[in-house]
Amino acid sequence: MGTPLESGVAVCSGCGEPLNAKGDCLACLLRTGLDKTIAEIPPSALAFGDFEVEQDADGSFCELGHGAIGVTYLAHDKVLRRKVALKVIEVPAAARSSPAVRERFLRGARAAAALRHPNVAGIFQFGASPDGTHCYYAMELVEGETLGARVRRDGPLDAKEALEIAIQTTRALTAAAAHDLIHRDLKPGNIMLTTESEVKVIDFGLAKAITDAGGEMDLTQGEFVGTPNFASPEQFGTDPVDERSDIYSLGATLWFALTGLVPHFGKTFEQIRDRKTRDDLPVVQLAARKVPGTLVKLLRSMLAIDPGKRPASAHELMEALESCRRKLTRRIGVPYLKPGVRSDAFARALTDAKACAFNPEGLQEVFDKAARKAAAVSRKPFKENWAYLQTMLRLVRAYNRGEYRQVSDDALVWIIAALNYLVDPFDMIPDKTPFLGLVDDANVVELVMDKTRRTLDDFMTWETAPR
Amino acid sequence: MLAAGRSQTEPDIAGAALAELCQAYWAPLYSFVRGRGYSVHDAQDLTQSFFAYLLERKVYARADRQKGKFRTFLLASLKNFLADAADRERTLKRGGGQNFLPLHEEQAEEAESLFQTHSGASNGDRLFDLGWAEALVAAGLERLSADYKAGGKELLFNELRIFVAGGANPPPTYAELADRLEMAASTLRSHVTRLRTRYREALRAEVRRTVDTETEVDEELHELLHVLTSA
Repeated sequence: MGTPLESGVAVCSGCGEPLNAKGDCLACLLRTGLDKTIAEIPPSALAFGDFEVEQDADGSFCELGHGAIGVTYLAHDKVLRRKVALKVIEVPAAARSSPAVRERFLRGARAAAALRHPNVAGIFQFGASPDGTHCYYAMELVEGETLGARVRRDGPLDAKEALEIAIQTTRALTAAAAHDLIHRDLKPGNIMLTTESEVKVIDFGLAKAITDAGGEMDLTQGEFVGTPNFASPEQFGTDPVDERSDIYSLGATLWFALTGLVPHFGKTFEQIRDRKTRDDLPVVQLAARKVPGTLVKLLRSMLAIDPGKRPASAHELMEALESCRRKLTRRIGVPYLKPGVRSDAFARALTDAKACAFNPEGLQEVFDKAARKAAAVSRKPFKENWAYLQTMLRLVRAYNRGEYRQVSDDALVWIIAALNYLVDPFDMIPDKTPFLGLVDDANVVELVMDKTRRTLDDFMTWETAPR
Repeated sequence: MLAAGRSQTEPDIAGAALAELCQAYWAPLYSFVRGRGYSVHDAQDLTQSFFAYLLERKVYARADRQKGKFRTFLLASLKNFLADAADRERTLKRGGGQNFLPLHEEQAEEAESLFQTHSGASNGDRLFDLGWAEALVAAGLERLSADYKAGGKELLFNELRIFVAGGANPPPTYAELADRLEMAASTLRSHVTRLRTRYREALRAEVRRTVDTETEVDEELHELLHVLTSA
């Protein structure tokens, strides 16, 4: 087991070891001295398996991030000719000769690589260097930012957006449960938000494999795997953990997204552990952010100390989150429509829109197509969205004629995507799902409304203004 | 440096080199003495006296490079010194180490603060090793800081320091820090990589003063890390 910590000593956010009187992490500072293997390999030779680490103009390696044990690089897949994120973990000298360490890592990585899901950054390849000094895995390169970075930049999210992120993350957890995989280190830093507003969970199932590769010396706290602030109470003990541990971590992550704070803050590993098992949840933080009661109730259950009092599975959590979303959408007056269309269909519509929104011909084509469809169908299935559709059509026409240009590029893309999505689902949705008004994903409606409401309001003001 | 410390042919140089090393590692030795229950002043005097003893008796000449690291040698010598009641009494009576190694107030305060930070350590050896690790990384960071300062990049160093030294808060993302520093994220990434490389070199150079080979540098760092992360 790890070092018993002196009370009152702050711990490092990266590795959980105590900080010294100057606030520096002695362990991180010592470990950096051991990074030499990577630095000393000639740049041209920094390759692992099929992957070659990219270099900046000055010859330094393109680092995407680094943690207590591993460094993540931007790398090039020499075989498939694509960019990937390559995580490289240096195996401590003491563990290099241990086939068991290597085997444990490979077993963990193999299980993680079997998980394929739109909300999980896929693992392409993994392995260990022939000399046993490094383990690595290449994963899908996600363009975007982490939830942590997003909250630090923009502040806490509103309930709808935070809930949507939790729902997408839960989809990943549900898929993982089918593979008997537990994340063990779910936190804002491991949830990527793509530029298409999709969630991609990174390092799924790899926290344990990484720690195994680090050997016993590099465990952050004895057998502890994870990040104390977001870890479940049972992770601090020695009993095996199950998917309910990830549900707790997701609860702490959702809490952070809503408040910018962690539910149980502590300066030391021990303090955090004790507070998690002893203190009541500081729900006043949620009240201060006006988090709806239904969400507070759900958070309470996700963050229950006793795993038996949490949602029993990711599947059960998904039902609870969707119920919560239904209540919230009713509360804010947006009609709830049955789920049916996958939101990745909309992501595709958005990508298509980016391709055509900035050339007049492309724009005209979308307009013509959308206008024809809209004229040919009944307005009934569109319900409340009919007015939106018509306003969007008028806006695009005015924009294309050069009469109205007060539209940001971003809003224009969203409008084109929405038109594509709203009126032409037959072309985009493989299962021939009927129109939006009959079956739709409420997420998409809300997302589109959020992104375009102000633009459409401004446009309507312009339309009605005397000229 | 250690080789110089053990030189048979140039004892003066060896003595001076050892004195410099002792100055750098004054704090862990002081911590160890404090850990034995001595008061602040007695511990200061004893640590000073130990250095005098080390140099006067040319104890360093006895250090056999086949028999272990300088850190181990120094601790063993200190333990012998403290165990020798007669020596201790005599040196205390004569008023400590006769200032042959100047003891600055700031240095003494830092050493005491170091002792307080690690005073919960399970035993004296661990207390000493933790102090030693602190002194090593402090020397590495100091060297790095001086380099950046000399190059007019003190601000950059202060901003990037967290990427090597860690801290209670996670480091900013490259994107947000690049934005704040008004530079491209790729440039910032290069700066961070360079800083880590330079720090690594500085730290390893510091360790190299106390061991003979690069392999031993690895072993020393692993050993200290092990002391830090295991009970």
